[in-house]
Amino acid sequence: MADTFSMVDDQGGASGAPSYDEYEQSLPQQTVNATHIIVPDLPRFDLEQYVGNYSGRMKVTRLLFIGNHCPPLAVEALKTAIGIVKADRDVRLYRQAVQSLQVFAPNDPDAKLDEEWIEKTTREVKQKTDRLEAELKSYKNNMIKESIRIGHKDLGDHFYTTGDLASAYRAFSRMRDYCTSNKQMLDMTLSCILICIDQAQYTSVQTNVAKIRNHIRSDDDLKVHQPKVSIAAGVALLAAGNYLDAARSFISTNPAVGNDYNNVATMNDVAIYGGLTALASMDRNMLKTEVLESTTFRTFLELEPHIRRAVAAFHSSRYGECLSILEAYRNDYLLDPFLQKHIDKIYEAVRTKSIVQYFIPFSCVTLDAMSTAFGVPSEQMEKELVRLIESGKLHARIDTQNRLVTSKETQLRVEVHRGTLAMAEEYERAARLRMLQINVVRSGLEIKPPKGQLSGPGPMGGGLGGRELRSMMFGNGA
Amino acid sequence: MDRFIGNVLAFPASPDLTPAEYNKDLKALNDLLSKLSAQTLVGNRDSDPLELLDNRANSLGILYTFFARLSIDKNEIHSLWPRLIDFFSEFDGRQTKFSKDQLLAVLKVLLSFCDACNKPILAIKPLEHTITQLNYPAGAKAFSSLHTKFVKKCLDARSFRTALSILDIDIEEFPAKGSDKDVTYREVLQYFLYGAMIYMAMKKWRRASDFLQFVLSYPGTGSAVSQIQVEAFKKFVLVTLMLEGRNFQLPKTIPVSTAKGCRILGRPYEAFATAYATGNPDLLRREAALVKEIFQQDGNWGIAEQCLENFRRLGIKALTSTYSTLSIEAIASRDLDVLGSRSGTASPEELERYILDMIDRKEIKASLSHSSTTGNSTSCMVSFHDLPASETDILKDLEAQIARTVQITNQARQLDKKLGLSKEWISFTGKKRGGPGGADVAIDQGYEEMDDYPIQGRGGIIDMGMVAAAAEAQGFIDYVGYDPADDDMRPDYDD
Repeated sequence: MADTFSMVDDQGGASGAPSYDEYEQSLPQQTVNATHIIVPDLPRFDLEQYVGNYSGRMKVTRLLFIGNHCPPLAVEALKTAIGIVKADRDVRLYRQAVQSLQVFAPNDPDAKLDEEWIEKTTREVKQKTDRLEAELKSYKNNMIKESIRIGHKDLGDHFYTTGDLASAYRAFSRMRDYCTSNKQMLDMTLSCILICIDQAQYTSVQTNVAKIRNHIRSDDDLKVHQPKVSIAAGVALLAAGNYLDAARSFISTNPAVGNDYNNVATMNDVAIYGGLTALASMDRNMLKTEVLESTTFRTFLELEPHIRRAVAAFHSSRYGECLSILEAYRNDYLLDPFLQKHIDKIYEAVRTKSIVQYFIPFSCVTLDAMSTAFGVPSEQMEKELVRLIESGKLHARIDTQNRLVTSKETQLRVEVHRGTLAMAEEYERAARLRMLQINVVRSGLEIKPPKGQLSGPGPMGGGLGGRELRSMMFGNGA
Repeated sequence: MDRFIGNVLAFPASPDLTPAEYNKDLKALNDLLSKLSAQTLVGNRDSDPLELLDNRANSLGILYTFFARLSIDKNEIHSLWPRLIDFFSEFDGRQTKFSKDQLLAVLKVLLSFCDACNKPILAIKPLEHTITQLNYPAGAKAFSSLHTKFVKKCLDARSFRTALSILDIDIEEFPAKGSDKDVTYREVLQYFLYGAMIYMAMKKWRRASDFLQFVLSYPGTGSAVSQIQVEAFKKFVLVTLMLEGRNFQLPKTIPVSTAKGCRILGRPYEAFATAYATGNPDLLRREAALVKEIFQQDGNWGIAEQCLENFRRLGIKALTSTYSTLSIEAIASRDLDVLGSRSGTASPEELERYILDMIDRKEIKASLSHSSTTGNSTSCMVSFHDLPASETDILKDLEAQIARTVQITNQARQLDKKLGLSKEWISFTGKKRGGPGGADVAIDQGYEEMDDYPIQGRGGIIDMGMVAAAAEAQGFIDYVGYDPADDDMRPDYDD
């Protein structure tokens, strides 16, 4: 899934010098995806207000993302984005935004590449880069650690705003050797995390999160950095599809974060990400103890009351209500760069979980009762149930005559016996096979290549020690 | 002449000789007979040894007489063959153990005669008896070149059932290195491949799969792959489909090089198996049509057809875990019959018979109920039930399995003992000891593994195989003072 979000940043990164190994290795495989998600309807949020919550590159990223996936908002979003990018002097993103805009509004004055500006800006950026690099060089000659660090930092900041993320990452990670205090180390790693998130390099995010956790030593550090680290880790885990850990990471975020980290996610986002991943991965008890009763997460949930309602509905077994709430906000979530890829999987998981949870207390339910509970026609319900049963998630059987769903009786004793028997038989067969093999070797009856092609005795020929023979037999026989 | 008959008749001196005495007398008689001239052995019209002696009681004398007559005139086989067949179906292997060469020579003449008159069935009974008697007392457990000849003849004669008497006995020994020129890896591989084919014909899929698996995991030097293994691979794919109904997985025991070679040459089979495992009838039909010609050339289309037939059974079986009742029409609309022509042709009546047949064979447990709701059109519902599981039956199976496991574990220990005494192991440990510092390492390891010994002995079925492995590092020294009583496995599986 190469959505525009990651494409933008990968192109930004790919043009950088390829000297930074860690980054180069983790470049994701670019695949052109045919199923480009388009949201044809307006989402529930107001674009201006929505984007106003973000700062830094995330603002542009989100604008471009919406511009590429939501035609009704595309023109407005892309024009705003172009304005910001021009101010940031990010030539690459500018070209991207203009190209996208050309699709939706070919006649708009902004839809034409401002070649003069591009040339001028490129030159200016180049000049600044050269100047900063020269400064850095002179600092290095003077061997003053702090100056070198600041030199790297300036260079990194410059690369970051102008969109050369790979160079920025390289500059920041070179600061590591010149950091003298713990605080500097933390700042440096946070910058790295931010760049990685912008590049959609989620594995690097996780390694950097692990690094930063080693540097958090005092309670003050913890208070300041915990929210950012939790959010970054949550985003990375979400991207990796590990919903349970992602949920826990988001839920543990300290509400003191406020707008401090809105160059990645706002408090509303934390509530949404945390709520959805929790719904997808936790059972009813966990939802109650870990989500609804969490004192920290409550603050977040208050910002997005419908998520709270959905979680509460799931917890009180009103699954149909929960699903319809989620469905109503689907468009919004499809326009979120972190969520888009996962929204189908998350909804699917919630649905599966609700059906399974719904069925637990019953030994027998009518199909009609289930279809009303989940608000779908009974044929579709039946198909869904069949799929769940066949994939082994639901232990039930369908009675098509009386339109009932009945739970399967499990005979644990018998199952254990059967399992044991199967395992013992497997063992017996494996043992016999191994013994036959060993006997073959003992009698020197191995397959030999025809004499003509024989290229000298192979390393395994003839003189096998007993130990090898035996390890051959028992190596994976038991 | 009469002295010869007399000598033969006088053996054995009494029925209850100890084995040692028996062997001594037998050896003496054998020496005596081998020194006699052919003329003496043939006898004359008045006293034909073949008339005077009994096939069973005086096997050795009869054998020498046959040998002499055939060495004088090969063509005598034309008149002798009925008697030879009787002899080979009755003789006593204990008596012929010092004259194997003569026995095999005479048998060879008989076999080539059977080949010449194109009657493989004649050779089956003699071969079967000879296999059980040849390597007395191991009998059929010890592999010989006759095993391969026997299954080949059974296949040729299409008398599969008779082959089972030998095939069902697991091979436990192969001839010692260099002792039998007639046994090469080809004979071994052929025996197991032919055996698997016979089991396949008898629809004993599990056993067929075991045989093929052995062929596939046959040890080789370097990366040599035998064509026989490739054939086995093709059949193995289909047998696995028959057994499991899903995509096959190559057993881990198969060497990488063999697997690679087989995969390249057996690609259509893998494609067929993949299509089968998807459970998509259209895909399977298309794939089957594609590979049909290749399979026919390989002579494997028959099993493939059975696999396709089985597809429907598996489909119906799978329904039992999803539905508790389903109408015949709903099953018929599912397009499970890949053998028949295009979808939707299976009539409900035909399907009903089919399901009844499955119930009869105890493949599924279900009941059919007709309800005549609207006039003359009756709709039929199938109610699926759980397969009954009686605990006593399972426990009985478990008991039997435990006994077999104990037995196989004992075999493993015997084999381990033999390996411990083998030249390679002794020189290997010798080298270890000779090397600088090597000895200590080996001994340390030995003790470590010894510590596990009592725990594993008590660990139950699964751990028993490890016992032998644990004894491994002790080396052969411990086996010199080996006491069979210690070796007696008594697992405490009762608690």
